[in-house]
Amino acid sequence: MIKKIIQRICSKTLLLFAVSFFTFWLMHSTPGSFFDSLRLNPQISQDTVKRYENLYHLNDPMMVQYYHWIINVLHGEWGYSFYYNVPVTHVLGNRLFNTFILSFTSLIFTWSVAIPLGIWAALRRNQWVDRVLSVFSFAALATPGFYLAVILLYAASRWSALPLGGMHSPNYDDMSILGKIGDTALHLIIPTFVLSLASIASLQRIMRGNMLGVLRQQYILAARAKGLSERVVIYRHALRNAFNPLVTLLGYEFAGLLSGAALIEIVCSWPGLGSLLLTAVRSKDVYLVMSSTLLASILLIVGNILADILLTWVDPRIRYDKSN
Amino acid sequence: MTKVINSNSRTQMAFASFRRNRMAMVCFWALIVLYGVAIFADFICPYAYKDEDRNYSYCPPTAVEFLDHGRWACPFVYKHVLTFDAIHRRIYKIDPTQKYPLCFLKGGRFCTVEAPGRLYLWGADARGRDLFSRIWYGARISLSIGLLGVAISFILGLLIGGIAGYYGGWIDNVLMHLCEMFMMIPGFYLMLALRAAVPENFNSVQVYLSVIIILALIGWASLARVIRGMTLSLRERDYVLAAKTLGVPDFVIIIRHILPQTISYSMATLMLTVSSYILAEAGLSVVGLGIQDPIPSWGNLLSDAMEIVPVIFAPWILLPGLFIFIAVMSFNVVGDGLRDAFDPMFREGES
Amino acid sequence: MNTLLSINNLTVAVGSKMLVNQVSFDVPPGKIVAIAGGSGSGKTTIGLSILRLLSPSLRIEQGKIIFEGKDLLGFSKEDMRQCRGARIGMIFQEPLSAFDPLFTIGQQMDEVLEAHTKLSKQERFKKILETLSEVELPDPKRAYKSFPHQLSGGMRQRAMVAQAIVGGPSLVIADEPTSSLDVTLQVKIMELFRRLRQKNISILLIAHDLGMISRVADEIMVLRQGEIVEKGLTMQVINQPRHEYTRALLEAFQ
Repeated sequence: MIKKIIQRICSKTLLLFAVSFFTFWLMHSTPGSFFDSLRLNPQISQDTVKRYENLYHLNDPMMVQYYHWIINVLHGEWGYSFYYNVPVTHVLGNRLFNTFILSFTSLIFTWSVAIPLGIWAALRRNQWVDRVLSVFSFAALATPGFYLAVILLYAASRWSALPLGGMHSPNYDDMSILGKIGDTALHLIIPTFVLSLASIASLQRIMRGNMLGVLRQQYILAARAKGLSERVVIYRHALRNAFNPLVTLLGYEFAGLLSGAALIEIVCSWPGLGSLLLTAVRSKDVYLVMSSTLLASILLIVGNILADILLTWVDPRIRYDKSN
Repeated sequence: MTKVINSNSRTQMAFASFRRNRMAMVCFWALIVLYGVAIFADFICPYAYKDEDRNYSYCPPTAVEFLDHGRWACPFVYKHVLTFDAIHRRIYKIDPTQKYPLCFLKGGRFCTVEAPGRLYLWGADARGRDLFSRIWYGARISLSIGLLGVAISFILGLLIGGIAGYYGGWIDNVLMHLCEMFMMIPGFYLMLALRAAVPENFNSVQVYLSVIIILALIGWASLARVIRGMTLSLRERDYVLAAKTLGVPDFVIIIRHILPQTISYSMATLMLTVSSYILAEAGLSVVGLGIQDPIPSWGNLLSDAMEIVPVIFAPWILLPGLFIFIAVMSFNVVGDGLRDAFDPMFREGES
Repeated sequence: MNTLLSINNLTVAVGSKMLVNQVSFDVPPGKIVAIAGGSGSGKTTIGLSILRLLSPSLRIEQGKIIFEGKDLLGFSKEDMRQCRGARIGMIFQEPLSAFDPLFTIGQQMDEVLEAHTKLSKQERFKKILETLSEVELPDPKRAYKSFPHQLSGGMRQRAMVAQAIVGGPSLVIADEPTSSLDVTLQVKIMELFRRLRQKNISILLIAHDLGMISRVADEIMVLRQGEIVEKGLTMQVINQPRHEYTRALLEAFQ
């Protein structure tokens, strides 16, 4: 099992290099070098310009530039942000953490709501609960996240005291630790809700489908034939078997979350990786663009690998593959 | 030439089943209406999308009146005048002394009013441009981008997935790693990164084409994987082996025997992909990186609405979102309906 | 009591179609009674009707199922649940799909004892190991800890038999118990059934292979399209078949 996981990590790392090269080539192929604007920018001293020209071999052919960029990345030197005027790593770390908070909270919210809803819908198939949830799912999947965010922010502005975007209140720094956590939590409510809605809709349907599929299986009939109570049949046997395949989804959920979070971050002014990338793209801040994209891909891979590990742990058929 | 009876009747059966699905049919017709009005926008809309009048900035919808002082009259609109109320907020007051009758079939448009009157069925935006007209002209962009993007994704997916699945071996390996590479970058990030590579001096047509290509590139990989899976199972079928032994060239086998089967199963996936592309384009445009003003798309129409203040003042600017919702919902329901119709096992059905 | 199970005029329908039509037979204690028939004959439906586990679209139109002196069709849901596993056990055709893949054999057998007895954990463990060695599994402790996919086909079917009898039932319904096994394993399972019979456990054997049935059953019933076409002691049915369908079945499996 460990061997398989190491294999996975290796092949994904190779692909990661491919991703980095692809992004690099993409940035490089745009006419109108950003380095021209770099040189023309009065805020950046000539020394800095010279230093980065040497560091990144800006006058060399593309492959050489890429090679040096990768070496630098591996040394923790991810480039310079021309927009923020600091090395990229300074901006990335903080933003990454914020995106992580949002994504993680959303993940927990999604799964705690969608799984019970899916089970409920399956057990009450075709009754009004199921139909209502079905309509809700379709509607939720069709609503653009940013649109819902604006509507909620508007509603919040009129009818509640919820903060309207951003991550911290103005007086954040003066708060106690508990106050800070509470403040961040308040700011998290609308973005998390919007981000989770679409995921809840699709996850709930999948859980419902899995549950219905499992309930048709022989071992459920056999469990009833053993005289087990309906509660045990459903919540011990059906539930676990229906839930298992969803574990792989966890990893891919993470990818979807990262992607969806980007736009929500922008609309709700949540200072995360997505809004960072947007600023970077708008200002053609090339190293920031490449680094953000690379980082997002790394996060995705980590998520997938975690999902693989989870699945192996949870499904004995895979765990005990080579035994006996 | 003998007709291939089998596949015909299977497709016919599937379509018959689809027609019985009421919800799917409703959404199907909704889509026809959306596309229809978009195509005939030049005729149906009172104004061109660029037509602005700064005197009417954020003018609310102008009601079409049928009664003139209690008597029936030809439909008309009153003049709307921008004034300030007691607490210096901008509001529009109706001036009942000035009436502008609706003119039909003038200037190639179904219904307009004479200048300086303005007919705002759904209100105006910041520059006094008619939202109704801009929404339907925007429909052209948003709806066509989705379709064209999916078309390119599909072709890419068919080619790469089909070749990978059919030949297997190292070709399959390399191509699937390529797919994985694309799937490794979260969608929105990939979109932004690709957008960053588009030169700044592109004109609107080039931007339009770039957005289509960008959308196609974020979705082709998962399509290719699905098609590869289907091809893998299909190539072991007897009729493929039979064709091979008869010496039919590979290319012909792929086109004539394998691809038609994949298309019927792909159709549902395609519908769902269109809806995700419409959402993606909206997302891109709403942050200003998609279609640029003055060309309307539902996404960039909503970028006005991203600030709270205009929304409070002129809530009608949220309308384009409703259309995105309807279009995406309809594509999703139709896609789901197609999947149910073609693959009865998918329905969590009665035994 | 000289019959353990007595089925009278059982009729089961789905929609307007009869799956089981006026079927009547008895199962005496300590005997193996076989229901033989092709697919679609309704034999599985009879088995599931006894345990009242039919799918909701099937209806029992009429009939009585008298088990240990009481009509099962009059039982409440809870009574029926207590009967399943404890008084009547069931063996399924494909043990790989009849066991929950995520739980060990031991856990799944433990469930039966937990649901029906008040034995302590250790007592349950002992009883399960005893049952596992009764069905001649070579390493009961290992079987206890194994997941279904870790056992071979033959061992899995034995485990299934163990699971069916661990609750101490007096009747075991075996639905095609050997159809997924090769011939040598079939013989072994049949031996197992004979041993169960010696312990006074009756077996209602549902199968299509008359040849295999004839080696172990005391009485045979031939079912065709929901109706009994022939019924009697094994020797009689095999050597002097009266109905042409019986003869056809015999020929198929000779």
